[in-house]
Amino acid sequence: MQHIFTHDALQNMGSILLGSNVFFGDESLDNIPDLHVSGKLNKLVLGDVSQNTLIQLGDGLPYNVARRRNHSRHL
Amino acid sequence: MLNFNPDNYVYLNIDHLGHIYVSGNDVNTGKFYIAKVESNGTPDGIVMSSSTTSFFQTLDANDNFIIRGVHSGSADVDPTSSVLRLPTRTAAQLGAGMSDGYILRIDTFGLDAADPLKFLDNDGEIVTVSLTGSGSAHYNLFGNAPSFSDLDNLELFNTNSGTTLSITTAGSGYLRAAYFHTRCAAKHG
Repeated sequence: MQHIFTHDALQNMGSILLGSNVFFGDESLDNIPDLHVSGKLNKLVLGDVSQNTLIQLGDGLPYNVARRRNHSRHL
Repeated sequence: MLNFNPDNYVYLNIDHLGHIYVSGNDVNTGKFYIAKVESNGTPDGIVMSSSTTSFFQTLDANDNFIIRGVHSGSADVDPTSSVLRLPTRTAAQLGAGMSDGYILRIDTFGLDAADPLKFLDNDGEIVTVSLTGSGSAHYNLFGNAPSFSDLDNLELFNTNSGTTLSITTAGSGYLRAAYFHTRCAAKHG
């Protein structure tokens, strides 16, 4: 299995499950994703991953990081 | 052997891998039938049908199978395992003497929840690609081979967060060729 990709911009997927004997990736040292899900992906299970496999998820999704206040103390 | 009784004509269409698609109507059953013959001359063995009458079938440049026909009521116009029912229209809506028409496009290298893909890979193992939930996929095997090759590309369409793609392999075995799957769209005529 060399390439899996979504067609539309921001296209979601629930799960991608590849069995234990499924080799994934084209082994090419390039910048072309072997797996590209443009939207959200809830669950990803890979069996055997080939070298140089590139995975790209969630193009343009908001980067939600819980920010903590930095309480500095002056001694 | 393909064994159905077409009326008047049989359409023969050949895709870029040399598969022959045989299709036609049977007046005895009132159905439209379609079957595939492998490039080596072996019939696929699966004859698909819909309770419609088709007047024209062809393949486009991307090996989509295009069907133009008429239907009545809420008949399933999709001859594959998927079900596609178009909205019914009354005689008044259609007009006197008019039939309800449709144009259907079937991806002969597509799969969806109703039509999983099974093929033999390069090692002779049975590979099963299945989708559950919404969406469909278009696939091709490496080198555009019909079988005994590995999956090259799998493009996903109209999926959502409830869709699951699963790819598994099992031990080596024999598969009757059944590579006719669907991703289709239809339009009322």
